[in-house]
Amino acid sequence: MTGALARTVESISGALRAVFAAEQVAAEDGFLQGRDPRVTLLSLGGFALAVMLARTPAVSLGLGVVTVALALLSSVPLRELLARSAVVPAAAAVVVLPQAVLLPGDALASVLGVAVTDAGVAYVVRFTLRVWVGVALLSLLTVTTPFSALVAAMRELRVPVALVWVLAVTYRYLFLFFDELQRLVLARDSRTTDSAGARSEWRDAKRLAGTFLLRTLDRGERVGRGMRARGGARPPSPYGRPRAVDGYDYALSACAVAAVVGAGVVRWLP
Amino acid sequence: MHIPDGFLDPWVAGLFWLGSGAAVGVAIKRARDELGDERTPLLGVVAAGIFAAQMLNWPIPGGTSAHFVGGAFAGILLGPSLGVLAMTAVVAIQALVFGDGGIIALGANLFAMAVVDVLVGYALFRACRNVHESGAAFLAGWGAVTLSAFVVGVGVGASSAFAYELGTTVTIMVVGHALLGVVEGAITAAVYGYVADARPDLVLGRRDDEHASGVGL
Repeated sequence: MTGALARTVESISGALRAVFAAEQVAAEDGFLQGRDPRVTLLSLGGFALAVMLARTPAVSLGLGVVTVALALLSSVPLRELLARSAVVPAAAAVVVLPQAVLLPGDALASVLGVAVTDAGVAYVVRFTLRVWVGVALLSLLTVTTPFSALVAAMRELRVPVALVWVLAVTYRYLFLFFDELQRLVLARDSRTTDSAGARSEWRDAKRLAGTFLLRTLDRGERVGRGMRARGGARPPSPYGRPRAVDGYDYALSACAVAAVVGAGVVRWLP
Repeated sequence: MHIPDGFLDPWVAGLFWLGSGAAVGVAIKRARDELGDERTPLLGVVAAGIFAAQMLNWPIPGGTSAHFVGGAFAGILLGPSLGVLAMTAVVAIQALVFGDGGIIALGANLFAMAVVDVLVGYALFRACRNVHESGAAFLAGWGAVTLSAFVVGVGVGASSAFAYELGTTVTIMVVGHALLGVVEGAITAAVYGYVADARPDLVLGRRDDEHASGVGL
């Protein structure tokens, strides 16, 4: 397969691989997998808030240690966690790297006649670390908690039911549409005998996207008609899943609250 | 354009949550008025289609490729309320399933990509469609992405966690996305043209009622 359009198949395969790998981890018997999804969502959100409050490297590092500990307790391979959370902080480090010379401070070294300051280096390290912890916490959430459990948690957390249904239906049809798009691209590729020019590829992409979106809308119509044929009055069930909160859930919540309070105290106390 | 956790100050993230919460709340109310309780979830089918369409690699000069964001297209096709709701589902699933963005930063990402992108795209298309339909679709795609980038630039620049000044972040985001937005505008116009030719009944403004509830829902 050649051309940008054909790379769509690789993009979809990459996304599906990530989801299937996450599903495997989510099926493990680990600490976060055993928690009530509401508690996981709110606690990891609390840790992420603590990271945003943190202004000292020690606090960010401490939260990083908590993240790694949670990953180990939840049978999340560290390689998997790093693979999912390394790209964004690396890009963030590149973005803030000029601050190593822009921020005033004591000179640590001189690069091409420009002084690298201690305050600048400290900022780059601190910022990269806090972004990494934030991204790693989101990665932990995605690999340990299936989306269906998160949808159920949102419902129990009183997120408007219409939004929860839309989320549930979007997720339900997502992989079907990935498959449909993949088949459209493969079919186009099988009909292409030589490498197409950019103009021709663009024309193909336009036809393909248009056909795909029309099929999507057509499927929406058919689903709607099917629903009406079955009576139409009953909305789809948004994964109701009542669950008891246990001592570990309370412990995780308490740790998250302590992290937020602790990060705030360290930040604002003189 | 996804902002990860760590870039924003908590108060900035909180303001974005308030803004996106209010906009999504209004969108839900209006969607239920337009579609009813039973048919609102079907919006998810269209949202899933837009999500999948984002995976398509569009060739651009230089041998590289670009992706469709789709907020303006959702606004044009579905109207402002349903468009906001559909893109909210897309951005939330991008975060909670694929790990794009952040947990606390989700409010900011929703505000930029599900609220501003959709509403600006819809408003620009509606304002210009009588002059030139494809041109209006292009302008909607380009303007929506550029203004969303402006919002992201303001949010990041206003945060003390990010060391660059507001003027710097806004300039870089707006100039960068004004260029990238040309591709988004071209994709929006191309896809709009194809859908409008094949199913003119689906396109906003081509039906009497001006509602998008005819889009299969």
